[in-house]
Amino acid sequence: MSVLLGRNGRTASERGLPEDVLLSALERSGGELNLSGLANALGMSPSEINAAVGRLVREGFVSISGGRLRMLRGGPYAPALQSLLRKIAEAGELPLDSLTPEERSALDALSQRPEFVEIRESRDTFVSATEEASALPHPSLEGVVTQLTPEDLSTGRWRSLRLSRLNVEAAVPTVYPGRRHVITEYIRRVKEIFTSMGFQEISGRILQISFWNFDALYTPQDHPARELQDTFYVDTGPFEEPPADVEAAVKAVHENGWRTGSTGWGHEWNPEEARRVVLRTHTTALTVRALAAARDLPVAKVFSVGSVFRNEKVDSRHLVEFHQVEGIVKSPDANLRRLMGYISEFYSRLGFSEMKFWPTYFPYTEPSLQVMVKVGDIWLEMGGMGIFRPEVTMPLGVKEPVLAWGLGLERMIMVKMGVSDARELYANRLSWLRGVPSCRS
Amino acid sequence: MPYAGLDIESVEGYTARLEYSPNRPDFATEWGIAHYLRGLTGVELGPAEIPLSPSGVLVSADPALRGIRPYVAGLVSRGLKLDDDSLRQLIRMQEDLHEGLGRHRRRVAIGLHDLDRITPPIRYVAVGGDHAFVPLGESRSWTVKSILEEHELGRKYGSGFSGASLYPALIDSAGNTLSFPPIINGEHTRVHGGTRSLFVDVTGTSLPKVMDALSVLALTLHEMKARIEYISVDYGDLVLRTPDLSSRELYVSASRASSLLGLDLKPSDLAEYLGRSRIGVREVLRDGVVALIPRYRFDVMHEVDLVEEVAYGYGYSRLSPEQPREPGIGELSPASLFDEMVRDVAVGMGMQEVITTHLTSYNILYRATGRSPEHSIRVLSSKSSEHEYIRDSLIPGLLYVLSTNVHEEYPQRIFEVGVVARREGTTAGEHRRFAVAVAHAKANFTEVKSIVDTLVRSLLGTQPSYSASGCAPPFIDGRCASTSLSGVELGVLGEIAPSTLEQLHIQVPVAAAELDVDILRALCGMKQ
Repeated sequence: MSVLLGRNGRTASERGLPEDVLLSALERSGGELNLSGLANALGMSPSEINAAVGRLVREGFVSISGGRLRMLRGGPYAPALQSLLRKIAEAGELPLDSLTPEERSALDALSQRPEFVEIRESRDTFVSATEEASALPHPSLEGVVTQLTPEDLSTGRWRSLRLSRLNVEAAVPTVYPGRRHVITEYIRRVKEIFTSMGFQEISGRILQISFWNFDALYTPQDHPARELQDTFYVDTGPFEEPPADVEAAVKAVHENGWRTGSTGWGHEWNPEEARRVVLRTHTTALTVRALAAARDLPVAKVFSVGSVFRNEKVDSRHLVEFHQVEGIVKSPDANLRRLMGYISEFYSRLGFSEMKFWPTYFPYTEPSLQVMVKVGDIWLEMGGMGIFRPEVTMPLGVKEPVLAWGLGLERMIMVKMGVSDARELYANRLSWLRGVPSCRS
Repeated sequence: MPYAGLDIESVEGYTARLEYSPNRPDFATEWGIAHYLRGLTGVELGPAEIPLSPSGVLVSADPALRGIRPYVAGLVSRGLKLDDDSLRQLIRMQEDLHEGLGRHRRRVAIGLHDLDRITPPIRYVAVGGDHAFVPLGESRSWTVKSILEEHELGRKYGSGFSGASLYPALIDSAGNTLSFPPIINGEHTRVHGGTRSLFVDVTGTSLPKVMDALSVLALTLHEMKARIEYISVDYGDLVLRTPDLSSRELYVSASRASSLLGLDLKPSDLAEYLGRSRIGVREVLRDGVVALIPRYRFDVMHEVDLVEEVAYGYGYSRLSPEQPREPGIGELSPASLFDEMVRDVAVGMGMQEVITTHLTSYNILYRATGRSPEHSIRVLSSKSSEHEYIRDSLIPGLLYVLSTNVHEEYPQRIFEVGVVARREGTTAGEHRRFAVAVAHAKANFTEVKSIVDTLVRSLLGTQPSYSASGCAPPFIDGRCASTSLSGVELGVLGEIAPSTLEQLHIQVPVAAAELDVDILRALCGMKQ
C-alpha cells in the first residue's frame, strides 16, 4: 500500500496548511482580522476556513469575538503534517511501510481532511469467492469501483481501476416522462386519419348561437332537445348575427318549407330564439357553418374533433362534456353507400374491421344511419350519420348532396383502452396517465 | 328489427325491449310494429285500409276556448278486446304522444274513455275554477282549481293555466266530466281490462298535431282488430269529421332515389319498395312514382323521406359500402397545428398533459382560489353544481387535478391546452390557453418562470418580459408576475397562495403559469 496526495493535499504542500495560511495572514495584519470575507481574501472555500478556524481556536492559537479573529500565538501550526506533505509531494507516491511512527500519526491526521491524501492498494491481491460470497448480490471487493468518474477518465486512472460486475436484474428508479393525455393522443390519431383521407380540419367556438346549433339544422324551435333540461344555455348575449339571407331562408323553411318542396314544421319561427347562446350540443354547428362558407365549391371535405355539451346526469355511460368526431362531404355524387364507404375506411384504419350500418332517425339528415362496430363478441354503437336534408342545405345556398357524420370519441377510446367507466377518462389520475401504455391494438 | 329502424335494447325469453325513434310514434305498440314488419317481409303491401263508419257521437266545441285550448277531435272504437297488457301498451303510447308530439301535453293531450259510461252528445266547454268532478284515481270530488294547486298532475302539467279564469272540460249530456285536459280524466269513464268500446278524445293548441295524434291512435286500434267509427265535431262555423284518414300525394323521382342511395332503381322498383314500407302508390310514371302517404305517416315531409322509405323497402341490410372517390387535400387547422407545437415543448420539458372539463364549479373556479368572478359565465339550469360555470382560466382545473393526486409520487408537473370563456361586455369571448402547474417540495416562481421562458423561446425564439404588476389570486402577492412580449400581454405566473393549497388539501408548494395560445400563435405569424 502507498500514499498519494489528493487535490487539497497538493495545494497545501505548496502554500502550506490552511491553518498556517490563516496565521500568516493574521500576522501580516497585526494580529486581528474580520472573519467575513476572509475565505475570498485567502482563496479558500468557506468550509475550509471554518475547519481551519475551528482547529486554531480549539488548540489555542486564536480566539473569536464579535466576528473578529484575534491571534493568541504564532505558527507554525503543525510542522509534522507540513513536512509529510512535502515528502509525499517530492516522492509522488510513498510506500506506507517506509513511514516512521511519527509520520504514521501525521498521515492519520491528514486522512481526516478531505482530499488531502489517498491510500492506494498497490499490492496484488488474489481473492476467490467463497460459496456464500458468490451467492451475494453485491460482492464488495476492495479497490473495485462501482462508478466510473470523469476524473478517472481525465487522469487516466481508469487503467488501474477495476469496475465491478453489476446485478443487471436489480430494481432501478422509475422515470415519469412528459406524456400526452390519452384523449389528445387519440385525437391526434383520428386527425391523422382524416387528413390522410383528404379532409380539411375546421375548429370553432364552443359557444354558438342557437341559429347554428339548431335552426340551421332544421331542428324545430319547440324540439325537446332545445329545452333547458337537455341543453346548456348561458346568460350572455349573442356575439354575432346570423347572415341575413340565410336567416330569411331558414325562417321560411321552418314555417312552410320555403322552396325546398318540404311541408316545413308549420309553425311560426322566432328570431329571438335563434339568438340564444348555447354551449354547442354537437360539432355539426361548426360543419354547417363551413358548409355555408363552401357553398360555391363543388366538392368540400371537412372534419373536426371537438367538445360538445349535454345537460345530463353524469354516470359511467354519460358525460356532460365529450368529444365528437364530425365530418361532411359535399359532392355532386355523394350518396348513402359512399357515406358507408367513408365510415368503413375510417374505422378500419383505426383497427375495427367489422361493422354494420343500421337505419336511424335525426331531424337534419335523411336517410340516416348508425354505425356499429364489433369489439370482441359485442357490437357497439359508435355514432350517427346521414345525408343532410334539403331543408338544411338549400337555405345555405348548397345544391349538392352533403354526407355528414358525428361519431363518439370517448366510446372508441374506452374500447381501445379497456376502460368501462367514461368518467375514468377525465379523472386525471396521475398513476394511470403515467402508467398507461401507448401501444394499443 | 334493427333494419326496420328498431334498436334492440335487450332480449329475455320471448320478450324483446325495442327502442324506436321519435318520428315513428306508431311504433309505440306491438301492433304498430307488426303492421310495419308485415310490409317489410312482404306479407302485406301498401297502407292498411281502415274502414270508417259513423258513430253518431257529436262533440260541440265552445268558442270561449279559442284563446285557451281551441281544438278537440276524437274517435270511437268498438269490438275491442282489451286486457291488462294491451291497455298498458295503449297507455304507454298515449304517454309517448304526450311527451313528443304533444310537447308535455301542452300542444296535444289524449284521453281514453269507456264509451259505455258516456251519454252523448259531448260538450267541450270552458268552465270556471270551481267546476268540480271526481278525477281519475280519486274517490272524492275536486274543483279544477284544487286540481291545479294540489294534485300531482295539476302541478306537473298545469303551468299553462297560470292566471287563467276559464279552463277546458269535456262533459257529457248526463253532466259527467270526462276530462279536464290536458291534466286528468274523470274517474267516471275510467278504462279497464274489460272495456269493449272506447271513446278517444284529443285536445290541443294545434289542429294539425291533434289530427296527427288521432290518426296514429286510429291505426293502432285498427291493428288491434277494433272497428273505427268517426265522430262529428261542431265548431259553430265548421263541422269536422274525425279522424281524418285521407292520404297525401307526393312525387318521388327514380333518379333522386338512385343517386341518394347509390343504387340503380327504376320507377317500378320504387313502387315495390314503397309498398313494403306500407306507403301507397297512386301512379307509376316514366321517371318516378306518385306516392300516397297515409295520414299517420306525418313524419314524411319531403321527397327525401320517401327515398328513405324506398331504402327500408329495399332493405338496409342489402346496402354495401362504396369506395369513396371525392378528391381532397388534407390539412390540419392552424389552431390545431399550433396546439401541437405547444404540447411538444411542454412534453419535452417532462410535463404530463391533463384534460379538465370546460364546465366546472363556482367552488373550484372562485371560492377555493380566491379569484374574482367578474368574468364568470354560468349555464342555466345545470343538473349539478359541479358543472355550472364555464372555466375562465385553466389554472383552477390544474389545481383541482393536483388536489386529487396528493397520494401520487412527487414531483408532479402537469399542463393543459384548452379553451376558456370569459364574460366580455354583454357577450362571451373565447380564448385558447396553455397552463402549467408544478408541485413538489421545492416548487417556486423560478421554476415556472424558466418553463415560461423556455416555452416562449422554443416557440418564438425570443424572451418575454416580466412585470410584478398585473397578477392576482390565486397567486401570492409579491411572488407572481405578468408576462408580455412586444408589448402584448401573454399571461401570468407565480406561486400559489398557501390558503388555496390548504383548501385543496395540497401539502407541497405549487407554482403555476397560464399563457394565451391565440396570442402566441398570432406572434408566431400563423394565420388565424
